[in-house]
Amino acid sequence: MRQVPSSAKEFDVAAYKELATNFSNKYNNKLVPPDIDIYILAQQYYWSVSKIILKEGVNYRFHVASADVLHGFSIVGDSAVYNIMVMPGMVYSFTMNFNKAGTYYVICNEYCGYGHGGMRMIIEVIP
Amino acid sequence: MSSYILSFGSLKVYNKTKHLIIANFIMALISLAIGGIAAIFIASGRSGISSLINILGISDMNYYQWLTLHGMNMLIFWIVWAEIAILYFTSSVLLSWPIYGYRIAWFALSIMLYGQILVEYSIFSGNASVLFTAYPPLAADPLFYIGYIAFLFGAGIAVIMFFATIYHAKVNEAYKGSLPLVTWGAAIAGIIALTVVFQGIITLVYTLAWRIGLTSMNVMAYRWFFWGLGHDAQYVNVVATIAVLYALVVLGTNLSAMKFINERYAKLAFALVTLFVIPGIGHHILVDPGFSIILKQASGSVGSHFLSIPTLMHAFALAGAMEAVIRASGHTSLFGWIKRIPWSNPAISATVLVLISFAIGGILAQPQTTLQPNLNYHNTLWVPGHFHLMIAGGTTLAFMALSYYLFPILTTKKLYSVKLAKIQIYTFFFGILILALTMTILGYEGDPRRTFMDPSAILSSWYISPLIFVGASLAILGGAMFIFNSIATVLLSKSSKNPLEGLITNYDIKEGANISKRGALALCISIVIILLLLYFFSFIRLAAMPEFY
Repeated sequence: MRQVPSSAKEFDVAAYKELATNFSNKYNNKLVPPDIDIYILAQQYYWSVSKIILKEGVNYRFHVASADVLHGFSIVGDSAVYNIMVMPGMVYSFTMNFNKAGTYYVICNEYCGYGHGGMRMIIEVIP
Repeated sequence: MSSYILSFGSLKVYNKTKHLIIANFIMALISLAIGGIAAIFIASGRSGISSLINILGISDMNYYQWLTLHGMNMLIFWIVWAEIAILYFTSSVLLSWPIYGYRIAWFALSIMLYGQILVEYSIFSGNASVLFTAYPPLAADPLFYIGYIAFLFGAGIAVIMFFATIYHAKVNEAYKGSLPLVTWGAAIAGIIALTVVFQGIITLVYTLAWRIGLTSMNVMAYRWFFWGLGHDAQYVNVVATIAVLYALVVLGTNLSAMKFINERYAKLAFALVTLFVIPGIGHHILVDPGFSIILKQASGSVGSHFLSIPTLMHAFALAGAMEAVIRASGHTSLFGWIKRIPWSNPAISATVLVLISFAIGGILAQPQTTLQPNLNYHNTLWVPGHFHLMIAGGTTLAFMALSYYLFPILTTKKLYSVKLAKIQIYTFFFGILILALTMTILGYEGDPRRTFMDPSAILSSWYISPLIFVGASLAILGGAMFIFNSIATVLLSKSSKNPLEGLITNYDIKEGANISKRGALALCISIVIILLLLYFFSFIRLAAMPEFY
């Protein structure tokens, strides 16, 4: 299925921040096991995790939220371009299954302030 | 009250109206110049040419400042000032009746000017780099919101004066029967403009209250209501542009085209736009969390798609009128009339180029207004690619061409340089076309809009980025030629008995000639076919992408 995710709920920033920090501490620059939810927090001007490694053909559950202003969560790679909004006060959840190995970039595509252009995260998809 | 009769179509121009229209148009020109200067920096910033970026000193700190300046001056100030000048022209000059509430109209101008100065000041001071959308919780200097509100308030008063003028012309029997088509179109634009002003003021007063600590901010509410301003304002532009195109086709053919335009049909198409405008807001929130899928689908996708119907109806009417004029003067093959289009007549060449620009821009709009494919295009350069074709290659080009007729009509002076005007139309159009198509290709690959970054690590087509600078430079040159010609006409040109000389093509309409519009119909059908092909392609593209839900 390729559809606009419909799962969004309000959240408590402090609690979500803890989830995102725990995720980043455990899996930054590491292979994420398939049953682990990926928690990402956007902040001026970085993503809470800088690189994750995922397996091709596996369903991953992503959660994205913002700690401050509006951000855009944009995955850009050779075989995929997906863009959703990251709104303060809302956690947006979606499932993604990369069908091709390679390097994907997560950039912020909603202007969030002077450092907006530097927000970058890498998703390495391995076969 | 002093006035004079124009030889052209026996229009009566009142001196007071003339001054008011020219004052509003001069403000539009100033705004266009500021927006154009900002465009040099933005286009250089996105060109990826590092020496250019260094010479101009573009940085993370000032790129967004230039972008805010560009957005506010182009999308709000230039367009609104020009539209108000056009509203006054279509009510007062076309109905041969003086502007009602002349002093109030000047008051509106001064409030708008005051608002604009506050906005420009806050942007220049570096405290309002929030871009045209000003999405909270990004916060600007309160002066920015106060200026924005004042400008919209003044514009609202001006629109009311337009309606008051029509009303007074009607009760004093300045015109008989139904409104002339161009005034009718302008009135539809005026109705939408009132809703825009209303929603804009609500949004910005709420934002100002939040900014000074009186209330909390609901970002979703802001996004919805802001697009009541930001999106519907674009439909004021589209409707005003189409009204201007009817004026151009009629002016450029020395009124010959008038008898080939079905007025009832065109008026119906204008009225249909108002039905679909408000539901169209939703295409801006298609990938926002929090809004229901059904609202997104109904409002964003369906509402926006329906807007293609009246737009295509107008495209057919305008192209058909041109075809009929040329056929009735003796050319009969299906597409043979296209070769006979007077390409050096600014009104006609601009009309054709604006229609081409609208067609490409409108086709590109379909994937991004559809719930699922929009996931691939949202907030990429595809979006400004689309809207530069609509607002710059469309609305702006149409307004530029109209001004080549409007100034001579108002001042009875010949255009400073007819030749420059002819070249200018093409320079601007091709500049915008190169710019917009480059943006579209980069956006297709995911290049984010409103982002100052080096895309070379991310995009495979990053090397075409310099074309952004090439296209923008041509367009900016075209803008400069236009501003120069307009101001030189007001200041340097001499009065003439035939101020529109060189700007008009005369047709010898043969009685009982073939006035078929088959060629125009075929063109419109091919636009629909290309539109549907792109539409289906965007789903095929999506299907090849990873699962996402």
